[in-house]
Amino acid sequence: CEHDHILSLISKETRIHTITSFLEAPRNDAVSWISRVSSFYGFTPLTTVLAVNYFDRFLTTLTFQSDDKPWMIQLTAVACLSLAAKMEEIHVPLLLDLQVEEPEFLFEAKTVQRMELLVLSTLQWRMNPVTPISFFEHIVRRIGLKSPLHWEFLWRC
Amino acid sequence: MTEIREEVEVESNGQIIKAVISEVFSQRQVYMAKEIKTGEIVALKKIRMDNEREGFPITAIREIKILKKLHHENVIKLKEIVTSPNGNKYKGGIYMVFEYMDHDLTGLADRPGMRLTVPQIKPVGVDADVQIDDLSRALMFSYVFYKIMWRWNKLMTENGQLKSIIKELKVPITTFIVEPFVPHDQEFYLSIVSERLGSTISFFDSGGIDIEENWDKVKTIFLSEACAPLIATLPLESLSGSLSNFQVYTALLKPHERIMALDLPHGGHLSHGYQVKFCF
Repeated sequence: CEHDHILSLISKETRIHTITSFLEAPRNDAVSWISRVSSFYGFTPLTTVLAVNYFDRFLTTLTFQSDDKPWMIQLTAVACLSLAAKMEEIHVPLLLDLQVEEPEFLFEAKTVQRMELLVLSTLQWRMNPVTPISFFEHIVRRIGLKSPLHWEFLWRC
Repeated sequence: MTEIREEVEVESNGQIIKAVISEVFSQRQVYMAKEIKTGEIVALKKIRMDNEREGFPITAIREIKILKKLHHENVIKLKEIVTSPNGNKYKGGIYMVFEYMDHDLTGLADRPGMRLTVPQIKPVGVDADVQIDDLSRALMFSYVFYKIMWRWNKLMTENGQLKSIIKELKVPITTFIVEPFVPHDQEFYLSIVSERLGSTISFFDSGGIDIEENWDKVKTIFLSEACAPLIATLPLESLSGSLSNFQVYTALLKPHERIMALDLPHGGHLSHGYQVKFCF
């Protein structure tokens, strides 16, 4: 049964997306911003992982042009992080409060909402992808790490 | 149940257009729809965004999340999410597509002189009965029963298959290890163990409804004698609100799976796993 679960996780795990080269730098900025905000609010690692997952999938699905405005990347990052937080977090900051850690642009809630919708529909509402974190519990069980310390570690993921 | 006829068109994945013969049930924007390609009748529930100031509603996100995870014959199936093509991609209406159910038990129970027919009632029992083991059977039965008691978004087909709608969810996430009932002096305990804290919690007297006090109401819902013996065999004591809620969850989820819950102001209950009390 556990074996089946792992198999299904593996089958659902999609291949790694490749990012067009000119997007690499802005992507790095966006991912770093997402991580900073996540640690600012103490989001779970899963929230961060999901946000980056949405961000990457969105970027690869949509055809971005190299002359697209940099604010679009930032807006995408805000929308993805907001969606991820809504999926996982107990306390979700307001959209304006979410935009901390000195972003270059600040977006109104309405704008973010539109972007959220665009992200949701572009990702075809598949908001629960298999992430590395999905495998943690199985691996921990398999290797028989069952001390309270290990569980403590696991729970933080 | 008001009936308003109107036409809505929706689009799925930018391709398939569905024409909609709609019927609006109460104030919720729920429509009956027919898929053009397959001719299948479905229910559309509009995600309301008018008053949202914080982007796409968190309740809708969590509703979708849990519905996509729950594959259970007693939970209404979310088939897909579609958008209406008027306006552009991020402005049109957004609808959740559910399988269509014939009745709303709340509506049925409110109808004066309402009697459930034997075929409608029997599957309620069978429903609980076909579960894999005794625990699930007890759980599912209590579940169906409890939900009917509370007239809480239960739907039913003509042949009596019951399904429930998962309400919009505001608060996530609690992990429980659930153990079966422990019979104790003819009262039933559900032991909830948090592996994280290493503690056990009994929800025996943590509040909720008293079936016996509400017996009249119960009887009016199940007027047919066909159902009476089934009710009589229920472990009534286990049907307090908290216990019932956990029964619902344990019937639907496996150990280690997550439970999501409503915030108190949104109709939740402490035993739904709201963080204040039971978030481990």
